[in-house]
Amino acid sequence: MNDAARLRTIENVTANFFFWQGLRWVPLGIALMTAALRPRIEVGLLVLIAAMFVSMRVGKYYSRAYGRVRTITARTERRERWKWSFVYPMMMVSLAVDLLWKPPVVVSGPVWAAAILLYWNSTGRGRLHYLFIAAIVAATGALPLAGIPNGKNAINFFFAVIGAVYVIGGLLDHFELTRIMRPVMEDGDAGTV
Amino acid sequence: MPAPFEEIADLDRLVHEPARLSILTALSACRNADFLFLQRLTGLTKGNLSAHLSKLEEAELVSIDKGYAGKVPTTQIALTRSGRAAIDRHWKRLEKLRSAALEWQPES
Repeated sequence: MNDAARLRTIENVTANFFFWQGLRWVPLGIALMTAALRPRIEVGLLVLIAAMFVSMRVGKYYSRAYGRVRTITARTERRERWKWSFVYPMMMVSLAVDLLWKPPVVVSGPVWAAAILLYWNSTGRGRLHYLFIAAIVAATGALPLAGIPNGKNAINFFFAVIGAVYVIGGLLDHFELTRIMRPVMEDGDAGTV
Repeated sequence: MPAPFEEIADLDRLVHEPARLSILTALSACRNADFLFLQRLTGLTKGNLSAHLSKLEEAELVSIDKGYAGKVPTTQIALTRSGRAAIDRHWKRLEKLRSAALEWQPES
């Protein structure tokens, strides 16, 4: 990596540190897969609560091991505005189309894949695995054409894939972060300046 | 008109030194960061990072706040207003030099 690329990475990781803490997303992915494979509301809720608790503990691990950053709110305003006013509504609309009209393909596939690409683009790029993940999610939408889950099972299968995306994407994010943020040379923190 | 390469000598060395440029670039992307974060991101040793931060603090480019998060001592570092202006200015200058270098033709 040359100096300019290294500095760009430093800027991107700092500005989007929360999103690079991949292990935070792993419990949520496992919860989503569990809910998709065992679609009972009480099981899903229980697993989701447990996943949120574990995810918070993982956040504490990142603070202890990698330090803390306070972001500049103005830098994320545009992303937040787009996310809430366009991306999330589009994801919900596509899901509603799949659930209510049951088209021959899972429309959410390409829509959610586009959302993944927007997420990747707005959180510091790097992490090229998101390009492959988006391609896989988009392709998942076409699987019912081949008869591999169809009807109600198609949506459950889709959510299982999204859960796997959280797990795999999260693990790969974490590996990328550990590659960029090197181990501390000396023990401890603070009080040294 | 001097060749762009001659203008490189005019760059602010306090900012342009690679480790300090890394620190300032990181701080320019956030409101503040703690010592551990900067240490891991830059790959500097504790002593090295302390020395660079002291120089930047002396030049009033960064501010350093020591405190406690519960019982754990923390050191928060942030760019000052002049530090943010200095790093912005530096990046603009580097971009300008890069463009000039691409367009530059040696005199025959």
